[in-house]
Amino acid sequence: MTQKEPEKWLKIQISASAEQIDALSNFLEETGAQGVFSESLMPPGADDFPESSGLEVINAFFPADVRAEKRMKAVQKYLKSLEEIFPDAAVPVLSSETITDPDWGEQWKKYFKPIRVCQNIVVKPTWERYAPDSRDIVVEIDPGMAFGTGQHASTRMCMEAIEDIILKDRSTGEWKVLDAGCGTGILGITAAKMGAQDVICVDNDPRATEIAAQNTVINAVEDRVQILNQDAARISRPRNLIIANLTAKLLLKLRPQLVRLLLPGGYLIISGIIENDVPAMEEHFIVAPLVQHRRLTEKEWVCCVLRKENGGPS
Amino acid sequence: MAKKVIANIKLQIKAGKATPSPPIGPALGQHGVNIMEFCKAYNAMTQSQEGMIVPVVITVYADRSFTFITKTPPASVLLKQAAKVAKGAADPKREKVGTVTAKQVQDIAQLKFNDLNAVDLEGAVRIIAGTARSMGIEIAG
Repeated sequence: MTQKEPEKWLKIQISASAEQIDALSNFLEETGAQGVFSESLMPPGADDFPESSGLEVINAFFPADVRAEKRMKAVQKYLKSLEEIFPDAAVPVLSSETITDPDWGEQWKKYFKPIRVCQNIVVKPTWERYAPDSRDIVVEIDPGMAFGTGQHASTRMCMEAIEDIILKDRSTGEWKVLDAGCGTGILGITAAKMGAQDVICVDNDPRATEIAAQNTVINAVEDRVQILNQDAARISRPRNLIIANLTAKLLLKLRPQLVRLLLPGGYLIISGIIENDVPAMEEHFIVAPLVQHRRLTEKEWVCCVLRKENGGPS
Repeated sequence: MAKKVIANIKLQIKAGKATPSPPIGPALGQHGVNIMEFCKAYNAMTQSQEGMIVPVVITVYADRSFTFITKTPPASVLLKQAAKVAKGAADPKREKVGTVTAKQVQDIAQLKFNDLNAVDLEGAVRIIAGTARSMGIEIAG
């Protein structure tokens, strides 16, 4: 088995006068940085942020590859040029370091605790202990770097909608589920744990589907949940429960496929919608053959549950 | 009681394209913010501006929850648009890549006024003019 190369990044930090930061950020991005950031931190024990010194520190990251040295030279040359243009301004100070195998995605995990998402469903990180009540359905998630921990309103509302649909709709014998853009697989796994026997989770990000596959094993639903690394538009098997927690733009793009896949009488849960996008979503989604079944809102996020009218053959 | 703030982070990233890679990963990960939750929210909010750099200021609280506000595009981006150039100069002291008018500088200063550390429009114009010089963009008139 080949060992995966550890990720390496060149971190550049520049302290410069606040007036130079905008142009400096622009230069760093044009030199290959994917973006820059600056921060002001509350000192421990303090009640307020320190007074601004007129200097700002910006951080930029470049892949630590063969071009790193050339990039550093370009940055040094640019800073020299700035010094000549603004002889009275504070001299920019440059520092750099190479970061090997960073664990940026790991540090927040210590703040991820078990959460009750709705009446019966609890999401628990794999590394935390939780003593469930007799009616609890516990979904265990190791998110890695994929989206879907139950901490975001759009995910929580989908889980609440899934619970409500499966508990109340007793006329549907067998749930055939599609989780489009599955991330960690949290929504498909929830449906399987609620009793769905045939669940398809798709995501076009291979890192997400790898994590989702591991989560199906952790939750012992791998026999009922199929994880596919492909575009949701390529699915052809009809479903009676489709969950798409994406963005308004992606939902609009996928709408024809989602409607085509949905069986008459089936449910479509769309989420990840910011309230500003609701009019456009209503215009395109609350039209025949779909009708609105339920709407959930939390802060600025909206989740719509739609139903396909029982008009024709399935 | 208001929640205790532990950090304010300003990120300059592309609209609709937030991922856990740098700079977002290191900027937020060190403060215990759930990076993917931020990416989801930022991409949803900025999807209509795809292709633009939309700066964002994130407030991180002691319980690791966060809020954020998006800002107008950076002055450097607006200056490049005004001068109709794709890039700024690599050596702005010696290289000139384009020209903007004094009126264009004033318009950008007005648009960016709330984001700049300036007491009046005159001060804001000076900052934008400084940004233009730092990019090798000349001001005509």
